[in-house]
Order: sequence, then structure tokens, then C-alpha cells
Amino acid sequence: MITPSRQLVFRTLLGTGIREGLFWPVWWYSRGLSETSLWLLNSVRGSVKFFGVDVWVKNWFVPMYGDDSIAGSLISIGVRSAVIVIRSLGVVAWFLVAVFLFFLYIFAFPLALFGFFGSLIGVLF
Amino acid sequence: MPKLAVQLGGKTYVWSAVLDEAIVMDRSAHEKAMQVLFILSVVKTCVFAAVAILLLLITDPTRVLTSAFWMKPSWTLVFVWGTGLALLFVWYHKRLVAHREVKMPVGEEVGKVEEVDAVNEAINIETFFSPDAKKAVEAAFELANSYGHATVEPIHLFVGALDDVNVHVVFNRLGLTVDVLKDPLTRRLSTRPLSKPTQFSLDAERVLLEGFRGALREKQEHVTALAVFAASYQADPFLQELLLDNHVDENQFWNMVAWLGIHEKMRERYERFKKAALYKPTGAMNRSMTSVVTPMLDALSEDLTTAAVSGRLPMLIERESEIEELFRVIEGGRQSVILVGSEGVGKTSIVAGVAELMVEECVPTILQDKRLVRLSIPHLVSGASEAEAQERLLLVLSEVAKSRNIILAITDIDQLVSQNGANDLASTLVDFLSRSGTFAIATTTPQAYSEVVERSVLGREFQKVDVLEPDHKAAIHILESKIGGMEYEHHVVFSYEAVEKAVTLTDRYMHETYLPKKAIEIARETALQVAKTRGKDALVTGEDVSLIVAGKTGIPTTSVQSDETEKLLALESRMHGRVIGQDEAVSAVSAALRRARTELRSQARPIATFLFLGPTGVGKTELAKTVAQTYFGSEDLMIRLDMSEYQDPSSIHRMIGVPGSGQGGLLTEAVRKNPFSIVLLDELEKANADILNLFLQVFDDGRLTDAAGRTVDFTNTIIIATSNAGTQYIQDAVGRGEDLASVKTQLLEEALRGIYRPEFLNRFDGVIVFKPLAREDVLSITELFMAQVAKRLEPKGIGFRAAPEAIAELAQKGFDPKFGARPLRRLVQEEVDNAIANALLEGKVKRRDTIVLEAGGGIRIEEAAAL
Repeated sequence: MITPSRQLVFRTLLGTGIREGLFWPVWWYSRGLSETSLWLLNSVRGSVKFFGVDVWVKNWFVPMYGDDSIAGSLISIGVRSAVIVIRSLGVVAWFLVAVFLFFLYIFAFPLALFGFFGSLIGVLF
Repeated sequence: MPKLAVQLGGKTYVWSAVLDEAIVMDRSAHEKAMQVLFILSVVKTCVFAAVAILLLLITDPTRVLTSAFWMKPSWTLVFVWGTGLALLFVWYHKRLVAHREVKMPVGEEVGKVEEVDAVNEAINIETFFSPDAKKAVEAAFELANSYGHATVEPIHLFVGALDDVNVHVVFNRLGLTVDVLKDPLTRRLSTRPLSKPTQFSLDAERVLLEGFRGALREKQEHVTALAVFAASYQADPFLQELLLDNHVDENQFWNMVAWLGIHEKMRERYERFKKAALYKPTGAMNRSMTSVVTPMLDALSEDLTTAAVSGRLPMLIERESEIEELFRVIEGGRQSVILVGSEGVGKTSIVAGVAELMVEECVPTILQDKRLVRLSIPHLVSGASEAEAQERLLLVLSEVAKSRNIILAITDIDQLVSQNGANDLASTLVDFLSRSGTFAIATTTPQAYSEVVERSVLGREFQKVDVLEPDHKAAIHILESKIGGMEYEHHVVFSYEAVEKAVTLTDRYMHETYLPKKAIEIARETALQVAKTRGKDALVTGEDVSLIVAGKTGIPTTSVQSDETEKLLALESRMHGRVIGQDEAVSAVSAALRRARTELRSQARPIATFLFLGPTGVGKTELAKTVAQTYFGSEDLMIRLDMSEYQDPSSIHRMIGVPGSGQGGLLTEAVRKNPFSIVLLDELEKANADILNLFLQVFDDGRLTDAAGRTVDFTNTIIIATSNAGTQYIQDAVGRGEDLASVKTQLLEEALRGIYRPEFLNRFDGVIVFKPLAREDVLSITELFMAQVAKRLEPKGIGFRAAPEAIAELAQKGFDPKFGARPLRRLVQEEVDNAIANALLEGKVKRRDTIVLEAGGGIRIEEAAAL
């Protein structure tokens, strides 16, 4: 069994730790940002399905509750329009949350970094 | 430099990872460092958070709500921000590690592993290996390196993967232990050529690429250690032989590996299904709210999509082709489908599978945003007159038409037609389906389809999709998918052997029902039995399953135990306890029974088929009875047909049933109810030639179809035909002193020619000639009869013995070369039994007295001493 020595593990730990630390800001605003954006975008897409907006738009002119009469169809279009608006509001709300989370991601890293080091320097000096 | 490659989607994949001691050590160090780094980050976060909370609690926690707290530097603020920063680092670190896992490529056509000279721009498949698989490869390298082997070979990869948790599962279920394999593996490893530095052999490279191909085929997310393990087994004949020595053949190995694959797929599907189920409405209303409420339908049906959403339906396995065909029919012409398959083959499971796919919306557009509702015909017709039932159906169909989001599932649709005079229900349904543009998915059995559905209006509207009984492999996979539930329910663990036996034994011995249902039922019953008798976490073995099958069928399916071995080896002497002389017949029958019990016989024919030829009263029937007693455990397990009753060609109906009656005949019903028995065809020469033809098929294929269309299995019967044909010739030839072998040859070639056709005689496993009884045989038989008399008196507490002179006298009187031992039996009745009966009636004999039969036929009573 090939077992690495403690020194080697420590050296690797130090090297990896420093490398990860230096790479952190680069990753945060490149790959990390793109991944997070994509995830948020998918979640907004998912919200369309969650609120059923796609299904309702597809059936906008299909009478509700199987009522084929003219009056029924007209009422149905009206109700469907209202429901589509209400459901779309849900999607918009989630979109706003996603935008907030996006900006939170953008600012979280420098905020935490400067907050920590700023406070530390302020306390120490 | 890689020498082998796999092509996929225009790209080349190779194993190009370089492994040497330094690299392995570096990797190991890196892995440990990453673990330590993660632990340190988490600890740091926790410490910062704890200090921040403590500082806040010591002072005033509400300070965080003031702007002064955030603007003015303080130690509390340092730890609050520090906690946030540490949390972000933990998240970043986890994401960074996740990035290193590259997604497997996707492609339908995976090329074979081929040799390449030079590779440009190839992708290293190591990036697709899971951490466990990488660990297995490194362990293989370390093993080869520690032995000083020149190359890493499949055997090293096999051993390297043994620590993987899934490989442990494979071992446990197959009943293997590493300890058992240790010695042969060590011996094998010690024979490998030595050289430094250790490099990857071509075979090892092939194993890794085959593992990659296997993972691609199974659509796995990574190449797992199990895939490496399986590929190494496939590549090395030594490993196959080693496992075979431990009673694991290739089929068992691959089915076991497939079991884990099925388990993984079911888990993935369950995860996907759970997400999809969130979007599927469970009530009458669809998502687009185009449907209407359906109170009548709800009262007479079960919503399968709702059942699927709440996880009440079983997951469908191994029925992809049937589902595909079903969707093709529906998509092709919006036509209704009828699934035709025998009871238990999985028609209802397919319908449930469609419901699950509808929940996931992985169905043709025509089925999307719809619900599958199973209409219950018994509910529809119960307590209703014909008119009422029709009214109910019309109401239901009107609701379906209005709702527009309902697909009807009708199990056992033949009930619509076969209800007393309610043929109109089928017509109403067909009329509705043809007008409304909707369709239904129905099920029925092949028999009901041909007798009822095909001839009715339903036959025109419904397109048939056959659901066949799954083969062994598919049935094993289906059962494997159910085992998890059984293990969870009963707290037991199934071995692979138990799963396999549940399928093979039920298939071989239980012909009334079909796979996979019968195997699932047997497995469930065995799990319950084992949980009851052996408690929690007990292992369900193949023997447990055999015991349950044996209990249900009466057929000894368990492996031969030591006491039974003795019994089987001493069959001849046991049989000679009842049959005097006839050594050839006894030997032939004993040998056939031993072959059958050790499973060396053909499984597609009866256990044995014998033709006993010889004069009357020489022991032919007695030997048949002895076989029933010795092998089947009871003389009652003998189906005796007097063939003189089958002289007319029409008597065939008595044997297999009258066509159109829907019932079996005397023979087929008897064998169907007792498949493990002796069929004795007495006086075969008297039967009609057509009847003999019937047995040609039985002797060849071990089955017979009765008038009801059921195939009756004869593979667990012993068929013995007795015949007096050629008796005169046998008596004359034996009288002349000819040996039995030449008598038999003469009989087959001459005397029996006009009676049996040669192809009929050839189909018997043995034609055995019983020789006429000699005087000494009759003497032994007389002794046997006397012993029987003594046995009969035993329950009365009365002893019996016969003087040697009396026995000789009886034998002398009872011997008749023409009728064998028959006159002797009569004589014993007349002279011995009668005398004893009189003595008993006259009160001359009391308990513990002994009756002595003396020469001259008189009896003497030896009185016992008073108590």
C-alpha cells in the first residue's frame, strides 16, 4: 500500500489551500457566475411550468369545464386571460427573486471580503 | 502511449492516465489534503459562527439591527463577516470539487475496443471514472507494484475493486466471500511475470475501456468500480473459472451485476418521478381545466395516474418493447389497444407503467395532460339489471366524452361480453370509442381473446398487442426490481440464488400460473417464512425457496440431502423388499430415478418412460407401485389407466377431454392436479392405435394439450406401460433357457411388430422383459405374503409366524407358471386369512398371543403368559 507521508500531505494541503484561495475570485466571477446565472435562469423557466403558464396559454381558447356554448367559451377566454395574468405574476415574482439572488451573488464575495478585513483592520488599528 | 481506443460520436476515447509510484502517492496525498481542507473550512465556519453568536449574546443581540453595529468595527463584526466569508469558501470548495467530475458522453453507437497505432486528440476516459473506480485502479497498480509484477492485469483490477461497496453487495448476494477466493487469487498472482517498473498491460487497458463502454451502454453517470470489476471478470477466463468453482456461473454473475444496475435505475427514476409528480394533478381536473367533474366515473373506477403520483403503483421493468408498440398503435391511428397475455405475465403492470409515464409526461402528445382511469366492470354491473348496467356505462362514457382528459383502462374486458346477456355493454363501448375519437387500453387473456373478444364487436375496435411471458433473464430482472420492497417489508436479505430459484423452479414445476407473478409470489412467501423462522436480517437462500416450492407442488426440489443419498443409492434393495426377482427391471428403474433426482435427466421429457413386458402376475404392477412408494412417497401418487377401456378411437376424449367442453380429460386432469406422480398404463396392447399416438408427444415433449387448451406438463411423471403382449413367446423362450437380452431382441423385432409401431417402442427409455417366476421366486413371494399377514395383525397386538414347511407347502400349491403369483395371493387369502379370521371371531386369540401357521394349513395359537 502506497501511503503518503504526513509531510507530503501537509505540503499538498498548503499548496492546494493557497492555490484555491488565489483562484477563488477568478472562479467566482467566471465559471461560478455562469453556473449560478444558468441555475437561476433554469429556475425561472421552471417557474413557468410550476405556475402552469405554458399550459394555460396553450389552452387559452379551449373552453373551460367542457362548456362548448358561445357564452361559456367567451367567459372561458375572459377567465383564462385573468388566470394567465395572475399566474404570470407568480413567474414575474420569482424572476425578481432570481434577479435579487443574482446581484446577491455578485456582491456577496467582495462584501464579505471587505467586511471581514475592513472590520479586522479597524479593530486592530 | 495508449494502444487501444473506443470511438463515440466522432471522438476517440483512450486510457492515457500514467500511473507510477510517485503519481499514486501524489494523488493519495492530494485526496487527503482535499479532505482536510474541507474539514478545516467547515470547522472554521462553525468556530466563527459560534464566536459571533456568543459575542452577540454576551452584549445585546438587537445591536445587529442598528446601522452603528455595521459601520463601527468590532470583534463581533469581524466574526459575523468571517462566518459569511467562510461559508462562501465552503460553498466554493464544494463546487470546485464537483467541477472535477466530468459528465459522461452520450451516444447511441458505442464503438468496439480497437487497437490504434497513434492517437491524436484523444480524450482520457479516466476523467469519467468515479472516485471509487479511480481508487480501484490505483489499488490494482499498488498490488502489481508491491508484488513487483511487470504489468497490471485484469486480475489486479479485479482484486483492486474488491473494496468497493457495490462489489461487496455482489459478493454477499452471490454467497461469496473474499476469504474463499483469497488463496487461489494469491496463487495466481504469484505466477505473474516480474519486472520493474510496473506498467498497464494491453488486457488491463481493454478492461478499463470495456468498463467505460459498459457504463455508456447502461447510461451511467460515471464509470464505477463495479464496471471495472465486471469488465475484469469478463476479460479473464481464470476469474470466470474461479467463480464457477464457487458455484457462480456467468449468467448468475451478470444477472447480479444487472440487479445493481436495476436498483440504481429505479432510484434515478424515482427521483425524476417525484419531481414530475409535483406537476401532475391528482383530481378529476387537468392542469388546463378543460375537463369536467366525473362523479359517476369516479364511483366505478380507480384513477391510475393519481395512484401513480402517490407512489402506489409498482415500477415497470423489462417491458419497453410492449410499451413502445402500445404507443405506436395509439399514435398511429388513435386506436384502442388490447393487451393480450396470460394471467400473471404483467398486463396490469404495463397499464400501471403507462400511468407512470403519463405522470412524467414522457408519453405521446395525445396522452399528455390526461389521466388514465381504470373502469371496474364488476362495479359497473354489480346489483344492476342489464338495462341499469347499460345506463351506468352510458353515463360513464358521457362523462369521459365531456371531460376530454380521460383515457379508459379496462382490465379483463371480456367480462363486458361474457356477462349474462350483457353483450350490449361491449357494443355501447365500441360505439362510443368509434364516435368520440378517444380510445381505451384494455387487457384480456389469450383464451378469452380467442373465445370472446375476437368474435365480438370488441375485436374490430381494439388492436391486439401480445404480452408474452418473460424469459428467465427478464423474469429474474423483474423479480430483482421487487426484492427491495420485500426485504424492507420483512427485514430479510435475499441471495441471488434465491431470486434465480424462485424463477427457475416456478417455471419448471408450476405450470398453472405464469412468470413473473408466480416467482414474485413464491419469493414473497419465502421472505415471510424466513422472517418468521429465522428472525430479523436473515438470509433467504435458494434452499428456502426450494422448500416453499416443494411444499406447494409436492415435488422434491431441494438439493439431495445426505439421508436421501443413502436412500437413492440403496433403491434396488428397497425395491427388492417388495418385488422378488426381476433384477433387470429393478436396476433400470432405480437408475432412472437416480438420474432424475440428481437432475441429469432431460428437463423436457418425463422423468422416465418404461414398457414392462411379461406374463401376468410376475410383478409388473407391483414394481410400479413400489416406485410410487419409494420415489414419490405414496402409492396414492399413481394414476392408473386401464387401457382396455380405451379400445375405441373416440375414447381419446375420455383421456384429454371433449372438444368444446372446456374441460380436461381423466388423464390430463389427474396429471394437472398431481404433476409429480406415476402414470401406469395397464394392458397397453389393448388400447386403440390413436391413443398410442397421443403418447408419442408425451414421451417426446413431456406435455399434452387438453380439450380446454391447457398444456399439461408431464415432465415430472414417470410413465410405465405394462403389456402382456408376447407373453407366450417369453414363457416359451425362458423355458428353453434363452437369456432375457435375446428374448427382448426377438420380442422387439418379431413378436411385438404387429402390436406396436417401431417408433412408438423406440420412444420408451426402457423396454423391460419380466421373466416368468421360478419356484424359488414363488417361495420368496410366499414369505413376503406371510410378512404382510404378520404386519396386518400387528395393530391388534397379535403375533404371527409361519413354519418353513407351511411356507413351502403354500408356495407349492400356489405356483402356476401361467399366472405367476396371482394364484398364490388368492391361496393366502383362502387358507391363511380365512383361518385367522375364524379364530378371531371365535375369540380364540387374545392380545399378545401368537398365531402359528403349520404345515397342512392348520393354525396353532401360542398363548401369551398372563400379565
